[in-house]
Amino acid sequence: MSEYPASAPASEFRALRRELLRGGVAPAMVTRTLAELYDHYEDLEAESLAAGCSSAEASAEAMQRLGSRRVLAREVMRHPEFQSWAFRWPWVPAVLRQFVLLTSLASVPVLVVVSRGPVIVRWCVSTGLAMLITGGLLLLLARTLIGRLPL
Amino acid sequence: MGKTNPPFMTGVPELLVLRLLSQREMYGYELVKSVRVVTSDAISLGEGVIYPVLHGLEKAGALTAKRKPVNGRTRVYYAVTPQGRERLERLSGEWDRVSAGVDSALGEAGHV
Repeated sequence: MSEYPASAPASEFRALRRELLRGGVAPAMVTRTLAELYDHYEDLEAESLAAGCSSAEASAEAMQRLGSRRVLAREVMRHPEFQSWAFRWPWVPAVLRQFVLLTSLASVPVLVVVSRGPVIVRWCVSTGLAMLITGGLLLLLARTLIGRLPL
Repeated sequence: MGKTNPPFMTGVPELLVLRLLSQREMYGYELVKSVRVVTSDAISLGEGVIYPVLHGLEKAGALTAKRKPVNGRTRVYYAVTPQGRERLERLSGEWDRVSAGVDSALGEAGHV
């Protein structure tokens, strides 16, 4: 229930939604409860209109019969089974955040290697060849120099 | 909200809901009207309070909820499950025991 008709006391429903979410009620349960409350409100309003009330009177009467926001919020929040898992076990999101962070940090170098594999292989082969050639030249030079030394 | 019910009414809405829904499936507004009729307005609920009761019973497996289109609107109809019928029998038994005890106590008090 995201939008309300102009006749509905939208602010009351929005305030109830905020109160329930702040109280830890699962968002899906909040949406469902408000949708059914709103349907009920419409039925009550139609009943009052049929009884001859004006639109404003019917709306006020319907809200009164539905119950006060405080009572409705209290009755919903009385059920622990309606609470979101993040509210029931607040340590779970913290642990998950740490896990995701650490996994990301550890996987970044691996992902870089995987995504640039051919470049890294070429670099390793080139460096290895360069080291071999340089080492060979240095060895040759050393042998030449040592051979000329008057030992 | 009009008059409210005292604290000892805890559990009564659940009993009434299960009893009424054991006869036929209903949606929230219809159910509240039925409660008013069968209790001759003796039990007055803030009507919206019925939904946490219904949702709680559904979570407990005592009710099922089904969306049905009616006159261009979608209504959520509730029906009692076999588990709900067992719960109703248990609650009815407890209620009979408690009300018999209270009746007896009130009768005794009347004779004192």
